[in-house]
Amino acid sequence: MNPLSGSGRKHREPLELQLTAMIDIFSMILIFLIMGSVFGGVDIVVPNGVKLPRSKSSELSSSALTVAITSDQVQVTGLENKNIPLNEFRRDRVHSSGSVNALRGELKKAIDKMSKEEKDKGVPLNVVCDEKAPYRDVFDVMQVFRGSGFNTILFVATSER
Amino acid sequence: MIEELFAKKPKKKIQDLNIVPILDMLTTVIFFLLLSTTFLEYIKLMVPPSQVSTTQSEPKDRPKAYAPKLLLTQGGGSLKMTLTWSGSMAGRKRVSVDVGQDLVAVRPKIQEELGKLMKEFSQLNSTEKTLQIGLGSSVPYQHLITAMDGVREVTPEVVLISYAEAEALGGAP
Repeated sequence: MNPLSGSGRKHREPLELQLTAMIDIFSMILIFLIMGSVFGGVDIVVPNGVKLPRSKSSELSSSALTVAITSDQVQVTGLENKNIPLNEFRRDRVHSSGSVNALRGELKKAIDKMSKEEKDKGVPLNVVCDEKAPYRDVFDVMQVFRGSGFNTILFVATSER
Repeated sequence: MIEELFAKKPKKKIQDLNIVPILDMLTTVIFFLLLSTTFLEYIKLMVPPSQVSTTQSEPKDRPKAYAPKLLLTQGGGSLKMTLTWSGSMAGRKRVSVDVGQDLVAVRPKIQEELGKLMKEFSQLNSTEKTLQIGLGSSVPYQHLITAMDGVREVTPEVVLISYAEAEALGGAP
């Protein structure tokens, strides 16, 4: 018997689970999940470089097809994410442009799928555009969507506050 | 056996919940939620279907003023706002506002001038709720939003007209 080992029995310390570190890690995971989740509300994607105009309106957003107008592109989200060059919407090219004609066809199909009640309320369209964009860009693009049946235009803006 | 009855029960070690890291994480969550919150507000613009003509037919009992049009054109560092209307007292009023590069700073001035214009029109016809708005082709989009904010009280329904028409009508003396 080894006198240095005491009574000869091995003293086993019970294993303890350190919960503090685990709570920290799970909390960090929770933060990233919250930031990445969509709460079923309106999800409007503003392209990089686009600064929204200011407005004092207090109307709430609604979920609808969104068209984002940048300096050279028109991005339609909610419709297989189409990207069409802005100059295809100009008056002298809009009727002959294949991309715009294809877009018109898809817009009409999307509207046809809507119920009568939704159409009666007014088919909405969200417009996202930079505050400094010329009115010509906005109007030319809107004309195509209006012609396809979108009769309620919602301009996305940020609050004054 | 008697000793067993009176023996002291071993003390159960009370598990303490360490809430300090939970509070740290809650503070971090609140911080991230505050950072990621954005406020988006919208203007709703009712645009009539394309089959409907935007020009109004002459009403039978010709009112003093109807079918108002607001035209915004820009030139020489100033924004010209022209309000025209038809009727037995057809008229036209023009206001000019100096605008710089800061589109947001000039908003209160534009809204104030537009408010005055629309109040003058509403004295001629307080029942008209639709306004046609047109901007010049190069006028910034922010001015459209500002104009819609400025006229909402008097004419909540807005119809957009083309920049070609706006330049043709707004540029005329």
